[in-house]
Amino acid sequence: MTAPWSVLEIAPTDDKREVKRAYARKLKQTRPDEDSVAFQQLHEAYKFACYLVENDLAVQDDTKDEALSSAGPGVSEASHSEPESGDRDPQSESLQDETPAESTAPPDFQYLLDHMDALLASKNDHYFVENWKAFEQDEHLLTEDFRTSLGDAVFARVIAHWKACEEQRNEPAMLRSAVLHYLDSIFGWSNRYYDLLYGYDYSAEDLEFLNDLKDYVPQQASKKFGVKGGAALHIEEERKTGAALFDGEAESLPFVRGLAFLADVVLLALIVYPLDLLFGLSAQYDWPTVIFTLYVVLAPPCEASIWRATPGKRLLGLQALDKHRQRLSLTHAYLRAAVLWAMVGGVTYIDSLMPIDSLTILFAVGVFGVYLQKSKGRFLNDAASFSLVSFARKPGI
Amino acid sequence: MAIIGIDLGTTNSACGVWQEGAARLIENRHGDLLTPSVVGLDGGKNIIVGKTAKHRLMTHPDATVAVFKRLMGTKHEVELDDRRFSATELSAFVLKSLKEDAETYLGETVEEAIISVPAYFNDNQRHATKQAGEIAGLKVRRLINEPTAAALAYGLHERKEGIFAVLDMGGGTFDVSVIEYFEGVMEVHASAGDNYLGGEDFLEALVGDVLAKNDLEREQLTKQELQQLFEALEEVKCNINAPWPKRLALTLAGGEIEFEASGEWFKTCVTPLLLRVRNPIEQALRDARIPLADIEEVLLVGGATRMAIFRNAVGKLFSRIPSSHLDPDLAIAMGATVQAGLKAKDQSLDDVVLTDVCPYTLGTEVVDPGGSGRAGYFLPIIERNSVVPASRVETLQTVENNQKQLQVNVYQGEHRLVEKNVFLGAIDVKVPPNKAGEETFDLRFSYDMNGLLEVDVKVNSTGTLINHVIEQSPGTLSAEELERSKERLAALKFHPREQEENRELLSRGEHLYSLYLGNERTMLGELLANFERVLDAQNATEITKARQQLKELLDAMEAGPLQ
Repeated sequence: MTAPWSVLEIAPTDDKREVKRAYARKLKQTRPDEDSVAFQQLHEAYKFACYLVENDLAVQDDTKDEALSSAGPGVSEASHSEPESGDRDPQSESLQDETPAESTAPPDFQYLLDHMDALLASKNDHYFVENWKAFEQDEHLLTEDFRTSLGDAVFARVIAHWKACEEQRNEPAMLRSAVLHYLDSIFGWSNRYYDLLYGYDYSAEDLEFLNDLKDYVPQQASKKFGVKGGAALHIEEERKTGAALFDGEAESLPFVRGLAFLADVVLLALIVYPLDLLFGLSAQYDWPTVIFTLYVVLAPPCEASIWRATPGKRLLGLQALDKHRQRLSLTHAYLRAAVLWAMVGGVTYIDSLMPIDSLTILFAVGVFGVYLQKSKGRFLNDAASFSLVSFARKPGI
Repeated sequence: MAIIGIDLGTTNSACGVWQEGAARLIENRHGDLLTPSVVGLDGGKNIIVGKTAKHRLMTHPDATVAVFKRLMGTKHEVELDDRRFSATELSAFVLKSLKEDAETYLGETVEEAIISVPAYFNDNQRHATKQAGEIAGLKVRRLINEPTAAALAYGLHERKEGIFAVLDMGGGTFDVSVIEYFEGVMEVHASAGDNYLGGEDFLEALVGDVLAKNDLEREQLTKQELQQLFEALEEVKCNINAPWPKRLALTLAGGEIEFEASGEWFKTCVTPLLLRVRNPIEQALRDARIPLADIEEVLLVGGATRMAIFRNAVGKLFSRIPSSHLDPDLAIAMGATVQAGLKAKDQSLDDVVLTDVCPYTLGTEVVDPGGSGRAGYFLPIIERNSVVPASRVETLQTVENNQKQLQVNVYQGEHRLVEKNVFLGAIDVKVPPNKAGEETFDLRFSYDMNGLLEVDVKVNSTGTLINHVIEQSPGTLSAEELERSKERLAALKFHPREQEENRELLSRGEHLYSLYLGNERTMLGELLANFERVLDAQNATEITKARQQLKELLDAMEAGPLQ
């Protein structure tokens, strides 16, 4: 007697009335508000039984089953009669399972299970699918009964191992999906989901990975659903569509950046001023050159720090980030500074060749404004150095 | 200690208790089984609930409110005089009044209750109902779906096995449940509904039509006039099964309005609403996978199902005559009471088990499975009409390299985009940075018998488990707010029960005063003033005498024009 009949505690029948009566009887012992897990299992079994009855599968399915087990060499008998007393834990069940098997089945049965135990106990061996191939080399696997009973015994061990790993928080020892997928392809567990669920007292949680195995494609990322979180939520879209890098605050960004730069300049001036008094730097260099050079040298370490910002930017809540919105590496930060230096240097050079008049400056400002509008607040030097400056996001948004 | 069963309705509420193997409904202080769900304030300190408040709807429209069940689970607040109340608080007043009635009847304190809610109430609305119970000092042991309650009352009453459809059209909501009863098992196969279709909508349709025909805007009318119109049409609606036509004459916005409320007119007004009845019925049958022919009986509950036009429409839909063996107004309260008996493990209900379903889909927001990287897609986790308690788990993964945080948004609804669904809450989860898709986590939704949702997130690599009961959704109160609300409301007092009768008489008198003109009105005014004087004097025998006199007169006057 197997699922779902074992749960309903009746012999397979094609009489819906009887199924309902059995369900009602069991339900009064397993009330939904008292034991929700048991109730869910019962209800699932009931629905499954109804499905079998409605599609005329109930009795036919069973006779086939019995024919199989009577024809087999006792092994499958064992695996089918065991589950009826279904409240043992899988570990003890696996032991129960193999005892009759040892006597009747070929010696390979025990050999393979020992091999499996060795693999599970080993540190790394279980990781490689290669090491599990011993299973498919056994010719007995071609007999259905041997395969089913071995599959059940192996499955019990997998679950026991799984649970043990979970208890000990020993993730590395867990079986890889590739291995599980391989074993499933041999033993076809995922096709016997309901049998395993009802016949062996596994909970639906134990069997969860079977559902995953069905659509598991080896060596490929699984096609699960992803959930985005926090700040990362929007980047993917932005990168894909090339849309705005900044939020609605883009309008105020150039202005705030200007202020931040001014704050940095003032800070540097405060540092340079006493040096100037001591060493008379300004005699050799003009002030803007000194401060700009210092900025280019000192800003990158600050931007590559956990602040992700120069003191001025920090003050105004800005951050310099790479295009994935992660912290800049020191080299990347220096690249940023170098681009800025080159651009300012270029403008100064042009200025030295042919003095730039105020009209040109006005024109340049206009062009810059239009550019800012287009780039949604991203400066040319940011774009050239694959970086960006934006308002720091509050954590958790 | 007894558990009481409460039907907290849009228009009327009722409560009962399971005694000696039967559901017994409890009479309120006025000797009625139904307590109107109307709440009023008197002088800013005293709370008035029920019939007394209903009379005051016209005389004190600024200090009285009805139909607030519609606002459950929203942030909307109702202003009474200069105080503001949430729908949850107003419902708490009604519950408190019912609780007091039950306590008087049973002679012991009542602290636990089963409250019925429309099957289609969402998570927010259910939470609000539960909190209303808490504010009223009742521990809500279970929220039961209204059609399920009605079926429970019916099933136990008739003891007839088979599949039946329960149509519950109350004051504000319309619910459909497909239910099977066999071997003492009451199994709900599917529920569907419309939260904004009920008797009040039929009334609205009539009022809207009258105003439109006479080129009037709602804003032109005073609150009194509007209330008068509502009451007149309410009477038309309730007496719809009587012979036609009925003539109505009203003074509205300075103009005299006269019209004939004919059957034809009524039909044209409400047909659009009747068409909406069809959708939930079809959905429930489809979800239950039960062909129409298998439905053995159609059961009608809720006051609005009394309308002949509704019965005809339903009869045509199911091609059979719907039955209503139980009083449609009381069936739900009786069912809630049966559930109370079940909950108390009453011996006589030993062989009855009820299984219910979750009427809507619950799920989470995920990134487009098609690969566009866009967020905002709905991933159903618990499908609608799954049997409850239900617990389902889905394994999800990160989508960004070095993603440190996951925001698990919980939604309820049927649309594939989350923005079209109802937002229930969010959980933030920290995950260790890793390559996109390498970090997985298990998202478990557990939906309990009360229809309340619990969400667990387990990060698989670290084993961190976060448990979250969705309760901070819009319109429901946090634990602090709940406490504050309790304190605030403790300051308001109910009228002492012994004075209640006098109050009721006065408000009835005031109501009649506003209806009459001329001599009768003057006489009524004098009588009322006199009665108030007697009340102030606090002489018990005098009061009884005056009350008797006034009551007789009012009865006579009330009976007059209605004949």
